[in-house]
Amino acid sequence: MIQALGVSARIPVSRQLRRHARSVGLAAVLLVVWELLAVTVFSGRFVVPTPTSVAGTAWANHFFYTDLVVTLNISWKGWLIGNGAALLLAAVSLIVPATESALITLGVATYCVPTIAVGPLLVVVYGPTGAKIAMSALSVLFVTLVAAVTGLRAAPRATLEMVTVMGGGRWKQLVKVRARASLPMLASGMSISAPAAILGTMIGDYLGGAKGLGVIMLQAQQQLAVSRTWSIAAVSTVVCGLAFAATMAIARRVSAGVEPALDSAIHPTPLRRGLAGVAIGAARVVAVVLFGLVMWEILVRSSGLSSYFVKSPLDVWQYCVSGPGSATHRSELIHGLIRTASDAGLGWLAGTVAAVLAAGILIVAPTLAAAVMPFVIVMRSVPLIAMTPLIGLVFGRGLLGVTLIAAMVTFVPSLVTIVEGLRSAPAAATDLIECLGGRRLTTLVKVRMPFAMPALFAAAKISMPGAILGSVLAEWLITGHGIGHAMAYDVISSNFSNLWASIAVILVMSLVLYFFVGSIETGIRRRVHAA
Amino acid sequence: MKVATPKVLPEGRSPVGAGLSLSGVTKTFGHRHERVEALRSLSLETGEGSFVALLGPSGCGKSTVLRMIAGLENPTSGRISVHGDSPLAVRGRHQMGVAFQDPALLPWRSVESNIRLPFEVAGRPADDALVDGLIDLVGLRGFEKARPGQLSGGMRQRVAIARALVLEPVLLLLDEPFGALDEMTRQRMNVELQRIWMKQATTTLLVTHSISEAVFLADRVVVLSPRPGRIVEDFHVPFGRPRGVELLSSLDFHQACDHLSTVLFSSIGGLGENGPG
Repeated sequence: MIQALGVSARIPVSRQLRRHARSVGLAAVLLVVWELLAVTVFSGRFVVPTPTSVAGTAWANHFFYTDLVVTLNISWKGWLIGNGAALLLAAVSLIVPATESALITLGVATYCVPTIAVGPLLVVVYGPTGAKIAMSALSVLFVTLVAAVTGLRAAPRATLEMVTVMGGGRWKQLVKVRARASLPMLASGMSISAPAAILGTMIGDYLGGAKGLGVIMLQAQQQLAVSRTWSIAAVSTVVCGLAFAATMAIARRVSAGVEPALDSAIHPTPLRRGLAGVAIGAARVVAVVLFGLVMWEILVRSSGLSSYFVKSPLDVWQYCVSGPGSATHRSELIHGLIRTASDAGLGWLAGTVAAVLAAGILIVAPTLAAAVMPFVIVMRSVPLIAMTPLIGLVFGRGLLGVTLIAAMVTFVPSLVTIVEGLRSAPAAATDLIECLGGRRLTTLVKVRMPFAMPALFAAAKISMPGAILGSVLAEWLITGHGIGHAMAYDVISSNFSNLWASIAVILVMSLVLYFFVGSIETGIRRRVHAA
Repeated sequence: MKVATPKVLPEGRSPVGAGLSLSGVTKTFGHRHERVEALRSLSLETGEGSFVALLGPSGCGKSTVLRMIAGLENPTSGRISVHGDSPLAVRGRHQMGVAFQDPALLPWRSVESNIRLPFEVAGRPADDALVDGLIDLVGLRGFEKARPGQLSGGMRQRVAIARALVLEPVLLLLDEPFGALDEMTRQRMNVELQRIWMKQATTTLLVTHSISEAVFLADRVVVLSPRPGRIVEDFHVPFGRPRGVELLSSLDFHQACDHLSTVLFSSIGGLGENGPG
């Protein structure tokens, strides 16, 4: 999901300009269409204002300058801490390979954890501002960790062996070769994490506070201030886009001269096949889970925090399984979870089907793709989950709003990954079909789609937890059902046992999905790249 | 459907009717500021059913010639025709066979299924007898159900050759098909390719940078200069067919190779440097 950004690095300026001109033209057309729709079809429904009125509101409010500054001030700290932690974890996993799966699982867990639900607990520990910084850092960690690990692994094997032959160890390899070779990957990971840091802060804002983009957006939504909600969303989008573009520009400069690593240069740790492989994989997961539970218990015991707020794994076990009233608790949890999972599942399915269709169309119509892809890349840097109040305003508090959030959170990143997957088919294979007299559609069906299967599962691996998080946030903020709503109620009624149990249940479900889909991806990847 | 008639061709023949025709073909890459002239005014006529080798140093544009004949690239100026038709028309009738240096097999398909792929692309029912015959011809009996990942490099190229022949093409384009193989496998594959080719005698263009491969396989060897590529020699190979391995150690063969090697080196020496890789 990260490679996509390096693509336009070495294209002549004149061509880039021409391409941008096309995209700018398309943007202008879209804005005019939006304006026309707003004054005709949507007129009188007050949920879709015209772009001119959105811009006007932003202008009149000085682009929400003071709130913007507060949000950015928290975000850059979160970005720095999150990236620092990610780099540290990546380096440790490389020097001590035995820790790799545990550390990666930890990273995945930070991605799967419903940030908004952890927020109230973080407030207890770090205070309101500290909690927002922590949430921002949590949102960043996974993106950069994946980029760093992939980048550090991308070092050419021959160069690494040279260092070994010269008598260098893992540390020398890391310093002399891997750190440099990882720059392009790492740079794009850190750029993607810039808007992610803002997303984390905004979700923190939804928990409360005096100032911040998220705070005023939620207020505007609750007051049904349509134009204001839209213009705050627009300002947030532009800021995220700029944060992304600025970090990307710096990152490109830093990594200039380092060729982006080719996929073929990445050597994944060889896995054992067959029953033994499955057994080893399962044993590893069990070990990591046990390790996590023990760490959780130790942290809770040693933190000295009141057991009123902070629950240990044993507390959660008692609450759900062995303690008094556990049957009721369990059935409530499962009931809410099923509701959330079905909303998220529906949205995920819709988003994935749409992404596959759109990716196919973009591949068959390259001219269209050239104009549209820059938008999609920018869209990806927009924290769609943070737009929940806007979606709630436009599509109401029903099933449609939640499903739509899940679908949107799925659609954009999946589209990018799937398009990359479709493009990753070897040129010799697509040339061959062309020479045999096949059309683009034939190439798509016979060659590109099978080659993109690993990408499809890679996208699903990321988007399934994403859809669940989106649904939880939507339920928390706008609808009145599901486990997200139950958790919002827990915070108000100080039912911390149920809050912890809910977080644990969501985390387990997301992690299981992530690793299950990930194992399918590995299997298919091996099959597709066998030759 | 046109069926290729098996024929054993006499040496030094010049059959009537154009096979492959290039006239004044020029190819320039890049835009206004960074223009690279890859080929300059290339003209070439080859007879129907002839085997022509295009020989040249790395980067001379010989693969570009092949890609233009395949319709994968358009010439900047000039005209290309195959049996009097445009490359795209030939392609549209599914009468083109290609094999690249990368065998480009689909890893999830078996050997048999890879060879059958062109039928699917053409939207025709697969001719199982033909596929079966080709498996024998390229010596892969017993490996029909194997996947590409289980085959050696040489065996994968055999599959690619069989796949190139399965639609009985009027034009066979080979872009260094054995370039990634070791010398011994390469020689064996050349002997086999000749045997296979003699059964169908399709108009063939082979792109290679190996002098001995060109002399061993082709009726004519056309030598290109470094960039911008121009024809510096059109050499008629004086050996009859079938050619065996013993030819490789004969004096005549070495003299032919030496001659081409002199031509190649003087074309490179004229620039004072090797062409860019």
